[in-house]
Amino acid sequence: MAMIYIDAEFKCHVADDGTMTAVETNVFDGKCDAFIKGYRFIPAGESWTREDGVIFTGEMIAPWRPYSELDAAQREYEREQAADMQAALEILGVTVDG
Amino acid sequence: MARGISDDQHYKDIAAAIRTKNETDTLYKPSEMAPAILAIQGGVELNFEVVGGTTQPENPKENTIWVNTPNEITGWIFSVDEPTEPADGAVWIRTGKSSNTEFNALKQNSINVYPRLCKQYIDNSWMKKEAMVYRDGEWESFSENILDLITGFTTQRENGTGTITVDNNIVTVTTKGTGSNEQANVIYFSAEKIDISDYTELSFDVEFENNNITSGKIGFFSANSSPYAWENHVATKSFPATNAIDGHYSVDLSETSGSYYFGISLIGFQNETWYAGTNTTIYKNIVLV
Repeated sequence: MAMIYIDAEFKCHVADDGTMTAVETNVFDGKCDAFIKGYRFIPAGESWTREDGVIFTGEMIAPWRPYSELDAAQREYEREQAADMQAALEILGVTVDG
Repeated sequence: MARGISDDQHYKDIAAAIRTKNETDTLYKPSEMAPAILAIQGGVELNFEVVGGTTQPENPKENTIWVNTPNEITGWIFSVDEPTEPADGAVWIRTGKSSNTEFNALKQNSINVYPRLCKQYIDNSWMKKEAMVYRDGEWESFSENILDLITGFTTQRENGTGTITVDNNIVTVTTKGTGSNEQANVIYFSAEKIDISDYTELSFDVEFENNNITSGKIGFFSANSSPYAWENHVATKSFPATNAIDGHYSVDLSETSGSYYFGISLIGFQNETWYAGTNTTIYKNIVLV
């Protein structure tokens, strides 16, 4: 579980600027900040109206930025995580068989 | 008035020809034949019209198809496959085997049309357009039944038991506790990925029966390898157990292009002292708009 912050348009943030609503959720566990910030999170009991008039009720998550960009950011984050882990293992002198 | 003598057989032949064309049994006097001939409709009369504009037409006729576009419609095509060599401004209405907006295209006889999606050819590419049909006093949007896009479901499960059945476009999913203090995780994924690039909304109706699930989720996933609904989800709607209310719901897909697995998940608590019955969720009218 982690804390995210949503603004008046239900867009997600990783820090509160003083105007946002804090939400504790496991929906974005393991996701990088760029991925999280590209999403809209509508909590249960609330609703959001898209500009064409369609109403979406929570709990609902959906990208508000192109998912392809978010996915690319997440993959890069995971590559960096794997590289950091590998570097740490090398410093410790640990080798992984296989 | 000039008078002459004519063979009666000519009049009989003309009357017979009129009855053949207008498909009636009417007997005609010679004085009635000319008007009857003029009344015969040429060709096939259509039972719909396609109109454009950015404002919904007022006082539309039945089966008016409105394409929400500021671009002039230069022609229209109903087909399953993308038309080749279209003219700029042409509207393509993609059809299928079924549709929530089906209509009869002819005034006499019948050609049933099942529209699903609308695009217009603008500047050398097909652009998706919102389109609606006016039927029985209401406008209805084109949509695609998701069950028509997949061949079936696969299952990823950890603990518990359950089923998924599809009958007459109704999807019924169940999950049942094992009686041990373990959480059951199950996701039913579409057998293949679905390209949702053309759609802005997943819409469905849902009913809950005996539900003590801790969480239900429906939507799209980037992978079908995990039974955990919090992994790989792209755009989803969730139903918490204590607040699961029957109704009509939607998932926003407006920024989600590409191909993904459609999935329905259930997470069930397994403690038999609390509840170990079968939880059932019924989904109807699952469409992409």
